[in-house]
Amino acid sequence: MSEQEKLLVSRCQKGDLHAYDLLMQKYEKKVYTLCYRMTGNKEDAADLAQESFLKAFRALPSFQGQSSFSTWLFRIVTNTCLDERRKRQRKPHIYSLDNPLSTADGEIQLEFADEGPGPLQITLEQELQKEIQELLHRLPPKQRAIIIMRDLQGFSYEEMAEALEISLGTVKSRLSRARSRLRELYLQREEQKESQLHLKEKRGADYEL
Amino acid sequence: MNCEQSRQYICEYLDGLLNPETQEALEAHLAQCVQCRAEIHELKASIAWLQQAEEVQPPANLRQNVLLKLQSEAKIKQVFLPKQILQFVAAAAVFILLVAGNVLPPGGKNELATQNEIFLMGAREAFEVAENAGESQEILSIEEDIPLDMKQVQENATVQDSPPQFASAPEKAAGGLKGPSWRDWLNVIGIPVFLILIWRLYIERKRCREE
Repeated sequence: MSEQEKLLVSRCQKGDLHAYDLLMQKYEKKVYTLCYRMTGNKEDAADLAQESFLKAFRALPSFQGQSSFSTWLFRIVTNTCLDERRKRQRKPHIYSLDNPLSTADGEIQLEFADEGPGPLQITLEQELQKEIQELLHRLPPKQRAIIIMRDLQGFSYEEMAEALEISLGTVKSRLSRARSRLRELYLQREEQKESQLHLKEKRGADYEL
Repeated sequence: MNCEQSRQYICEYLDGLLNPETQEALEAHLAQCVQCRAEIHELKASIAWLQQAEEVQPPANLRQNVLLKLQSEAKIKQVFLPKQILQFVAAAAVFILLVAGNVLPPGGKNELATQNEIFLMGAREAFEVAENAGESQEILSIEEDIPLDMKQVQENATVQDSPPQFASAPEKAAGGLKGPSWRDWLNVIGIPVFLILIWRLYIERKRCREE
């Protein structure tokens, strides 16, 4: 933890909101990204990020500087995101790609309503982003958290161990399980794409005949 | 190194965190194991695919919202709501009543022989009314009324009868251990009421802070 950050933290502990604003400015993007990737939608992500920052400020008087401020902050963020009760309250905004037509009409419309533009305007890029988020959502929350932190946000193993309050050994085994699950899901997706492509080709051939 | 062992190290291998010896051993295994090689290739591909996830920007008002909440919290810590003041006053009144009842020396007239019976009656009345009353503030006002009720009942009682066998002065002087005194009743009713008031005040403040 840098000297400047230590100073800011001690000013926050005395209730200085301006100092806290500076600290938040430094971490808001990382905090929000983690929340967004964990929940998959902007409203919940904003709620969770805000709640995490509030919790952190309230808990700051008990922060002794045993760890760096950022790992301490991310412990609060991951706990907030993984909180069981909240998860049950929250309605999932993302629906499985496996069986999109089996749901009622209303639900399909709701899925697109989140994106703004109608289905025709969804570009390939947006489609990819949606697929990534959907795949992340199919990982169990704890595995999702560790994949996001390591592969999207570049946390070190030590930082993850502290933030998730687990041992280094657990970090390794959990990350290993998460990545092999990610690989399975990715391969499934590739297979699906390929079969869709074959189907299209076959149809094309049928029309030609 | 076999496949089972190599799987343990794949994660760290992908992150470039293995020490040279382990890395060499793993690479030696990979050179001859098609399956493990394929697995690593697929892992790399899926992580690379995931890393196409775009950067997201926090909403512009995120920090502002947090600061506004924290500011209003800091204000609430100082400002009390009228309801809370009322609750505090009620709790303080009950507390004073309790202290007065337990510390002040007993008045001469109150020490009459039939006192136990009389105060039993008074307290029972207070209990019944208190049970009917919903609000703790009401309970409090009844509490304050008790002495008046008691005096009336007491006066009636002293006029009507004062059986000497229950009421001999020496017994009283010996400490009046026969039954619960009015002080006991005051404590039995007053302490729970006091605790309930304090607890409600605490809950109220907590709710304010959370909002």
